[in-house]
Amino acid sequence: MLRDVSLQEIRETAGQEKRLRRMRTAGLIAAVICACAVAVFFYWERETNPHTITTIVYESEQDVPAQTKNGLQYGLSYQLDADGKIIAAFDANGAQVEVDADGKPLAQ
Amino acid sequence: MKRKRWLALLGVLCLCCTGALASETDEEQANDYIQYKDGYATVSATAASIQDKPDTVIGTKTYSYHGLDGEVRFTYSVSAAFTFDGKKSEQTGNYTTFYVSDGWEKQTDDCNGKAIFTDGRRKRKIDLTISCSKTGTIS
Repeated sequence: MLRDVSLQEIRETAGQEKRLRRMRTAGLIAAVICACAVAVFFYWERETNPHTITTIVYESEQDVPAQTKNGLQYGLSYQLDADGKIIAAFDANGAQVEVDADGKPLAQ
Repeated sequence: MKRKRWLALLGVLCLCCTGALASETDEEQANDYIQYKDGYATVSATAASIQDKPDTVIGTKTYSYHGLDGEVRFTYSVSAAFTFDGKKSEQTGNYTTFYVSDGWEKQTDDCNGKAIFTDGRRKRKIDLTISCSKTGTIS
């Protein structure tokens, strides 16, 4: 059924459509910003706080455990028992290395 | 034209969501606690400084794998020493320690944080990285 449409009505309808389109675009932009923010948050958290780090302060180099000193010097892999004592040592190729109780290679 | 714009926006949304999800997956690895189907693991880190050697720091990371009963199946630690001067840091040494309970054994170890443990049926690939900033902060 046809009816006369006034210029005013046409303008109003066009205006409403425009507003709707703007709102839809704004909604989409907000969703994109939220998704980006979530991605950035996870990335930042992973990069800045990967672990809770406990800090130890030794008064002098003498206080550093002998096992740590020897380990850092010789770069081996030490197998420990349940009490934390060295029971075997291996190099990076998996070959066994004879060491003393503090992890120092006997051949040195 | 309008449809293309919609598709482009949808594409951006999908990309962002994928990024967020990927980060979340990695996050699980980086957390102090990692849940597995057959147990769980904890990762802890320590930074040790020496008062009479202020340009040196020793970092240690430890991975402990527990079964569903809570018992430790194996632990693996990597320690590394760094020197730093405010402009750069340099790794000066590293070593690893490990403990295995019955049934588990270490398959490989590069003595610098990468190792594989197995109980014959399962394999656990460990990759612990210690880094030091130019100001001596361990991460």
